[in-house]
Amino acid sequence: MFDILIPGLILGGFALISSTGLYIASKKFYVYEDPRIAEVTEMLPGANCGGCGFAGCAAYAEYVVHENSLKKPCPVADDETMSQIGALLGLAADSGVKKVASLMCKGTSENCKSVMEYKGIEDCWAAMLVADTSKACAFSCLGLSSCVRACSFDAMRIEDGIVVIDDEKCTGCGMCISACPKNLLHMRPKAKIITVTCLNTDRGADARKACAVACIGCGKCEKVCEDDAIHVNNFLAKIDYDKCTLCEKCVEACPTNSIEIREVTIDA
Amino acid sequence: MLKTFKMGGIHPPEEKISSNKQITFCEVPAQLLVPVDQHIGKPCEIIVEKGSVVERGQLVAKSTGFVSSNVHSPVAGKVDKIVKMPQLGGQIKQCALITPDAPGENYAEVLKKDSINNFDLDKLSVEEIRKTIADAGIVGMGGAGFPTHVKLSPPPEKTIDALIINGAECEPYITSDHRIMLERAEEMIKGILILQHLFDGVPIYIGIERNKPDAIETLEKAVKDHEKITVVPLIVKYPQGGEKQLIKAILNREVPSKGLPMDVGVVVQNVATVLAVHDAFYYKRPLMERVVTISGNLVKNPGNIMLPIGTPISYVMEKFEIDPQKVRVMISGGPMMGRTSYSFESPITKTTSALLFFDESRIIGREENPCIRCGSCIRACPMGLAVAQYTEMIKANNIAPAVRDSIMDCIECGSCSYVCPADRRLVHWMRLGKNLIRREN
Repeated sequence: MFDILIPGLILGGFALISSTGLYIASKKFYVYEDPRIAEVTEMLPGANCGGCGFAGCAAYAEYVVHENSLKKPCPVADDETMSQIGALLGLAADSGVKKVASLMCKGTSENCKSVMEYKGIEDCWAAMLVADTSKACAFSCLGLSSCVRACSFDAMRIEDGIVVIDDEKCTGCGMCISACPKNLLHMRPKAKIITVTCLNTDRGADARKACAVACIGCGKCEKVCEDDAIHVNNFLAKIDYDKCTLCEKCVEACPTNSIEIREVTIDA
Repeated sequence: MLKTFKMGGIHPPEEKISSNKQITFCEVPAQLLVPVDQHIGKPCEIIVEKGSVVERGQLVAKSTGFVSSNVHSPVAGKVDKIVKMPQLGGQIKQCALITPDAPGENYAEVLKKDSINNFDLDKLSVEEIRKTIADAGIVGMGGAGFPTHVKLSPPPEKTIDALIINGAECEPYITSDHRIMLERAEEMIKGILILQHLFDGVPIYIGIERNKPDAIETLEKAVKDHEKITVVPLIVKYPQGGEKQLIKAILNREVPSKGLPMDVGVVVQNVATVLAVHDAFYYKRPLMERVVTISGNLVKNPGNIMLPIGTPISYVMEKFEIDPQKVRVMISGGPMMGRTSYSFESPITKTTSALLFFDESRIIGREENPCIRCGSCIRACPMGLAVAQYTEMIKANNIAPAVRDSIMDCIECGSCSYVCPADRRLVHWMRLGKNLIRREN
């Protein structure tokens, strides 16, 4: 009878001592944490993408609560979430302009021919160690998925040798930007825009030879633009989104179809 | 007892099929594409423009800093234009397209025209020697292309007590250094004496693998009168031509992690570089040509040829009757460390020791398979790196801080990829890892 009680008593004694210890420790070493931090973390998208510049959603929540400001909005969360967070903290939510990533290249395997057979590791940086490009154009998208792997939101895929971005899924966190060794991914406002889809700064003839839809720097778009929004520098046209009034004249004027209207189906 | 390095190493088939072929000379090609950057370090600045008339030996691109190197025109001619061209290393770089005044002239005749320069070695100061080498645009011609004058200017706190001349030529197929040692031993020794003068008469070791007995014999004869120069025969093992391995083999000194040979008091120079140093002093000839081995299973008559820098590969292919249609792999350098290239218009550079052409039959083309944890790569690594572990980390884009320095120590010799039974692209992963670490820093 006692045989069974002894271990029971010993273990019970241990439990009592340990729980007392834990209780004292929890009182003595208590650190106050604002309960709102946990609440805000709960509301955030929770992808830990790092698009805000902090280590993750929890770190961002801590920043928001401590600074008591929403001046740096989460680039991923939608307006509703941000206003909910604002309501919790008693702040006006500053939603900011929503952005999406966009690829400055249309060098599909049809437009821009491959000049070699790359059989190494499937990673753009790894391919760049072997040669600057595997396509005829030195500025083109290699289509080896480095950005696709960097995307936490499943918004990118490789199609026809280049990256295709799903504007619906893209949250604008910007993690793909630094994953591209060619600097081909740029953030653009999530709205209808007109953009030059090329970064080739070679002379016109060379660019044309390399890719069927390259910007050859002819300057026609510059001439037809009435808003002074488009300029050709170093054989490459660039559009100032702030000045552009979406008149679409440049799109018609471009002889190589390297200016494109990009529309977004916004769910808002 | 014959020497070699202790850790790792492999012995691939030697395939030195061109070792008994004398160095021949080409004719001056109809066009030369002189690349502006051919070295490691700061890019140079091009100083000719479209329409410029250049003399043989005239500066085409000027070095822009200490770790940078001049580029000269090997022929007299006219600069047609400045073009961007894919290089043998894969990068796209600026080249000066030069049309020679006398295309078709035998290059041996061009070389003969260079005047012989008489000078007294004892009267030359250390600075003068370094300056001549820097002006001549000499870089390490074994493949890396590090400016030689930088290697020869160690900081004052590092005392150099040995000079090693690298004649190991451990890569399969390449025989250019072998032929230089056989045919131009006397000139090589003169070049070595200039370097010895730089370091106050330090002992000199010429490391040669024993699969080149004729070269060992020739050089032993040539150094008979020079007490301080020793020829060291080495056991055949790849990558013995790596600086760190060669130092370990000859002097049994280990270069520390992240260190340079000068940290253990040694300077290593390649055979071809020494010859270039000789030419720079005795002919006042900057580095404008080099011996290139043309080999591979598509080449019917493999050989060693003196080519001016900037010779397009298409010219070489014509001369050696290589059918461009059949070429599936073209490698500049050896098959272990060389780079595959894709453009037949790329030019020869200062660092092209060999050009290898292979057809379909030499492509294995197996897919990368999962690691089976056999440890072969770790045993083969001459730097003692746990390659299998590191590549897994690199693959996951999560490199432990503790192994960062180890990954940076990789010499990219390719021994791991060679032995891997799962056909993993280990050396490519290691290179990607190095790139990743550099990007993060």
